[in-house]
Amino acid sequence: MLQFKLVLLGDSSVGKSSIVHRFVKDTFDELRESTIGAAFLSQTIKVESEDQQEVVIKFEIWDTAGQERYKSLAPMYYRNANAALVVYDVTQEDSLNKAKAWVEELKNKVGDEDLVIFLVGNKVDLCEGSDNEDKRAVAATLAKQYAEDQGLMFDEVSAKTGHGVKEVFQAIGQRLYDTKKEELATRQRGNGNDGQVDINVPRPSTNDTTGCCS
Amino acid sequence: MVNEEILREFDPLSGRNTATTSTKPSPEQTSEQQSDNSTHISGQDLRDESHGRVESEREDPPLGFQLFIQQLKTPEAEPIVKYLKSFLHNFCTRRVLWSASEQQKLISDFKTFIYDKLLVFEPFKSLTESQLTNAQEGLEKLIMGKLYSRCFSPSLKDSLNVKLDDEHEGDLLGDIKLRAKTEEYQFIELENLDISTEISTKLNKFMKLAINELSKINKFKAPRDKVVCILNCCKVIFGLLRHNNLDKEGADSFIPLLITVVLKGNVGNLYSNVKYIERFRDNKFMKSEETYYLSSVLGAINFIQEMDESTLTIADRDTFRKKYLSNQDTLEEQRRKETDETVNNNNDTLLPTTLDDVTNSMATMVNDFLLSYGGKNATGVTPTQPTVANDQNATQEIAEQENDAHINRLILQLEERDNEEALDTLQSMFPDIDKDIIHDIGEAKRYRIGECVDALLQIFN
Repeated sequence: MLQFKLVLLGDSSVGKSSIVHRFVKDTFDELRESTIGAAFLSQTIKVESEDQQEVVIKFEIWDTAGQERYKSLAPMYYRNANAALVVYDVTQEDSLNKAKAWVEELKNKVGDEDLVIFLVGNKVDLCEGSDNEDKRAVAATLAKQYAEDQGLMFDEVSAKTGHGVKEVFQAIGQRLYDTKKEELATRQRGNGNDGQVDINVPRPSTNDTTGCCS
Repeated sequence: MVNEEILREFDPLSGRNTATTSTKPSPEQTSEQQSDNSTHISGQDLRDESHGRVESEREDPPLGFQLFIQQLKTPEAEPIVKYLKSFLHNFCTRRVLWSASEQQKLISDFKTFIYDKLLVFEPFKSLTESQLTNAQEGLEKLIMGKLYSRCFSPSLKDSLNVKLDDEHEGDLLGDIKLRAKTEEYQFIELENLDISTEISTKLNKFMKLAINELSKINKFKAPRDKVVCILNCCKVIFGLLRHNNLDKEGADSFIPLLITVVLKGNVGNLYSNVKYIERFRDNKFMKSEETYYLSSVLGAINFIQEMDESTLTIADRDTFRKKYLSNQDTLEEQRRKETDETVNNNNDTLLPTTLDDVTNSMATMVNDFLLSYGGKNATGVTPTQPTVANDQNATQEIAEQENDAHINRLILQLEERDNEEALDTLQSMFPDIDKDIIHDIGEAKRYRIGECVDALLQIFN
């Protein structure tokens, strides 16, 4: 099974954890591999290989505290991540600025060209219907343009209704799989391919003295 | 380069050292190991089921350290015991002080070496994969139990009277800094740490339990057991979040609570413990979830070490200031008292409790077992061909069997004691749930606090 580390970033009120809870609970997990904990969750999904075979991948999801004062702890969490879900609230303009700051930091600090960054606007349910249109503070087109400029994936979701949530993780999974495919093929040849593929994505380790707070 | 050379010297197959492998450790080392064990090893050290695997339901049942020791006792395993003894002996005698990185490399390289050897010698080579993992875990536990006083910075300082290397010294400084800040800010409340919603339901009970789980970290020597303490502590915090319907807030609520637990718990040597786990817990056994919570505890420690008024949310500066000053007075008072006490009763510290007595005798037995191997080899008995006619051997076997029975009894006693304690705690956390139900869940979950809390929360909800 392929395992990928995904880190969750975003301001404290944007509902980033709710998105993941929605994803883990709504996804049928026939392998019964999912974990729901205080701030660490995991879930498996299936993606498709080139020859239309199903491939199981596992997300290991690292949540971070969004409050400004815990910002210095973040590097410990995003180190060695394969993907980052950067979340903002479509009804709070400032939360997009915070999200942009995270994108900047990831690009400067992680230094992994393969890092998949997905920008997500949450709480679209709050501005659905003609009565609520004025609640929207960030236009989808604006955020989308920013994402395109920065080479990020982008979508809007509602953790409350579940709208778009699965698709976000499916897209990240597919992208990660496609990126790692070549590496995978090399390993398969090396291992004489016994049908079981086990890629060990670099394991996070906390003993890095270059971390934020040593 | 240097390390490779050292490792070659440690390799029992490389000639020169073969002589030392079959002889008894020096008397000096023997007494040191025993005193080391009697002060630090806990009964729980010897039983794997005590707080077990978190994801055990999806895996084979835990097999246990005892089983591993039994396997190690079989005559076929003798080469493994030799390698072990040789490594342990050399680690302790070749140099008085290794730097932490050197230790990490030496132990990691030796584990790689000995794990390979498990595939060569019976009974290990015919084990299933999960049984083999158990043996590898057992080896890590045995090695780290034996080398604890040389590898865990606070013990190292106690056992050696020399200036430590920068890394070990750094651990101790980290502990001092954490303790100082912990005492300076012990009065702060959750609101100072930015929790979005008020947490009231059963806050104190859960906090107490979480602190209790975390503080067990100093009862264990094996890195894995220390990790489980951290994991259990975090599970209890998760239980608190669920009780208050905050579980969907994830790290936003979890991190401030974890910081509070670390702060209020004031668990001794916590920084050194985390560093020790990072260095000596085999990476391949470390689950991502465990790494997450270990990182979080380190994050919480770092946050507290850097804590000052600017890192806290303070609604009312005057009140905060008053509390701060009053706390300073209390600290001053405490320090005065402590100085007086140390002058007055120098001999009155660390009276062993009954629990210690029990574990001490058990620790000595495990030690005797390891030493007895040295004795056997020295007398020239070939363990691979046991002869029934050999009286000496037979007597030894009977003695070992008696030892085993004794150890088993002690383990049972300890377990019962711990289980009762766990039941009491769980009952106080869930006063509305019937005592019998809690007991049944305790039995079913083998008294693993984390899993018990999970199960009880489900009923509660």
